[in-house]
Amino acid sequence: MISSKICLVGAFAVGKTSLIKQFVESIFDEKYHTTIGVKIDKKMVSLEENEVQLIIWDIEGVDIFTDLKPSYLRGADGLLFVIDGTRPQTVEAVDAICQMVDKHIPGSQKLLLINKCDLREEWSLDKNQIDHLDFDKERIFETSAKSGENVERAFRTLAYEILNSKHKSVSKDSK
Amino acid sequence: MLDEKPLERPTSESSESNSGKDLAKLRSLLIGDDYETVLKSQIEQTEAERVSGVLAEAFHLRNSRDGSLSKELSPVIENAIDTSIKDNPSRITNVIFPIMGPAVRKAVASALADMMRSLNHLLQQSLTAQAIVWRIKAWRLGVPYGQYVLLQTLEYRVEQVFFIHRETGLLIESASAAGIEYQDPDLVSSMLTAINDFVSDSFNSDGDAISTIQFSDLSIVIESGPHAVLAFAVRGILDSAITNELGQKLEVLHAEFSKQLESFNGDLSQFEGCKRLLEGSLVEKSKQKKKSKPWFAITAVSAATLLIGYSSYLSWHKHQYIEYFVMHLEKQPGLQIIHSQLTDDEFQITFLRSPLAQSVAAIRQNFSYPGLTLQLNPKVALIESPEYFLAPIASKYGVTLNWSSVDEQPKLIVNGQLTQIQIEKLKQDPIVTSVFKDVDTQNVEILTPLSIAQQSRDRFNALVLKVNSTSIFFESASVTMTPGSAQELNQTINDIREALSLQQTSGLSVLQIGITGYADYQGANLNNMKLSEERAKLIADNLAANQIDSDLVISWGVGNKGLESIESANHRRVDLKIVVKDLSGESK
Repeated sequence: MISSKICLVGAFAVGKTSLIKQFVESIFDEKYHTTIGVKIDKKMVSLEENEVQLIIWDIEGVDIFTDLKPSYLRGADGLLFVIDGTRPQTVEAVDAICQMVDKHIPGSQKLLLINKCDLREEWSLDKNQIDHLDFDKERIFETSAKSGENVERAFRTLAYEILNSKHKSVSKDSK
Repeated sequence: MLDEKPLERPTSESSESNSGKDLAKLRSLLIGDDYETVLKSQIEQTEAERVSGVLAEAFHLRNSRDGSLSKELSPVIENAIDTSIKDNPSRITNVIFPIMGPAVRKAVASALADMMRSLNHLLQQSLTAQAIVWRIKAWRLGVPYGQYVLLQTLEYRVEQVFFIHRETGLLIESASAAGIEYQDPDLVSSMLTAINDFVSDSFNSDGDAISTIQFSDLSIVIESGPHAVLAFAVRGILDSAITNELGQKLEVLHAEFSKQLESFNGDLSQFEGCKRLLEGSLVEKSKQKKKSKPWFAITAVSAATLLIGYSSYLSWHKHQYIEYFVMHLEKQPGLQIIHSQLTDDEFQITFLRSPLAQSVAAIRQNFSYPGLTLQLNPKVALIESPEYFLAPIASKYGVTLNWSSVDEQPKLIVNGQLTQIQIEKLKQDPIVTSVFKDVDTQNVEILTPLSIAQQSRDRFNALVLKVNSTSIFFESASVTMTPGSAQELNQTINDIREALSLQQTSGLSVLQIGITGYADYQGANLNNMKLSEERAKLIADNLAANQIDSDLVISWGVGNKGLESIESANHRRVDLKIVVKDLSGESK
């Protein structure tokens, strides 16, 4: 069994905790609970012949009062950057975090989740902003923690990418 | 030579200017217009300005290559901080105050809590009976009391162990003691890592790690190694021996799994055998068990005893009351209890009642016992039907009863055996007097109690009969009694004496004791006569010797006369006969 640490990062109130709740327990709660520090959850994901145990770190949202503590990211194999489609300023927060991540954990797998796609008509994102973040198209997911749309798929993709990268590094080591 | 020099100079000048031109040409060919710009900036910018432009990148480059920069910078930074503090201490104070304030408060609070706990512990330990015992034991062992207490109270149990990858916070393996239920160990280990990260971030103590988390009597001891962390949940009092032991455990694990830890990629299957090692650390040390009295059991037993005692008292009291009530009721004229039954909450009486007797309400009024109701079943006994009363009276006195009406008045007719006293009692029985106007005891056979006189008489008569039927036997042709008869004679003498003693009380008296001697047919008649006389005389002498009045005794020999019907073996004999005189009448 492979155990893997992944982190959800992003601005406050983008839906990180809700995404995890939806993924782990298939529950959505309309109430907003702000996360302080870190919450940790876990879920087993089966991929083909492999079992990956995801230890999911739900890290408090970034705002003007709270910086992201890089030590929380240490040792993470994968990161989910979460932005709120209805709030363009959340993209900027992710942009800042991206730079920090590149510096601290360069080898990690990264996906971008544009959350709240159940409110797509209220989205006000600039395409250039997203492009600026420099994610491959297949690494961007439009999700909804409320409806559950793409949530499972995003997490599974991350797990798959992590597994792939591990296999690669193992084969590289053996060479 | 001199001519040559001026000639050469232009040559050299021209060649110099030529090479300069070439160089400029080459420069313009290679670099183009940028040359001017570069030249311009070289001239316009100072050295410092140029360096400042690339400083950050240079730092970044060098830092990513090796750590020499930090090494070089650290004395500079230290000096800088030094200078800064000297110049303006309040600035640094202001910066670190938000961190130091809570930290100091927490430290002080923790120290105070520790002090309170130890004080409390000390008080507990010094004021109990156990403390006194311990003091004596410590004194006997020659050990300081504090040390002895420490030895006695040492108690801990390692309840759970987490082996955590340091970098990722992922749980490699965990083990927990039997019966301990915890949160998901994966989450616990990640959370411990997060807490550690949080603390080291918040307090800028990068590289340091939390070593203990204290929570009530549960301590989480965290031992950090280069690649892994070992966290122990220990309940009880920690001592240095256990923390040392746990630290060693981490070293063992590091040595065993060094390769796997170095290249850890989340694959947990590489750590086989790790659990066994962890389980080895689930040690515990128990303190001596307190032999406390089983207060609960004692309380329960005494409560039960009290309850049983109280309920038996209640039951006894109830029965006493009922007994008294029944006794009182029986004395009432015109009432006869036929049947009574006592249950838990009810007392039932079925009784006969004559119309003139105490009313049912009055009976009920006399009865009052908490929790007990009185159920009265009166059977009204009418005068016209006195037969209701016959059965209870008959069973009470053991007689058969009948009744008849004489002049319209009921009359009880009694049959059977009763003493005079019983007859009187029957006649005065309240039930009898209330129902019957007259009692007929004509047919009753009156039993008289045996009088002392009668008893004496009977005894006297029995003794006389016994003596009169006694014979004393003798050896052939001699006046020597057979051994059995000598015995018999003693008994007979005692009997005669008893009979004599009973003369006064029985009204009977011994008139004479006749002793007749016999002899068998052997030998001459004359001799036989003589022998029989001697035998009778012997017995008479014996009686006299035993204080029996000789005036009463007459003895004679009759030879062998009158022995025809007696078998020959019994011919040599003496017979006794007591003649009785009844003082009330004639002699028998």
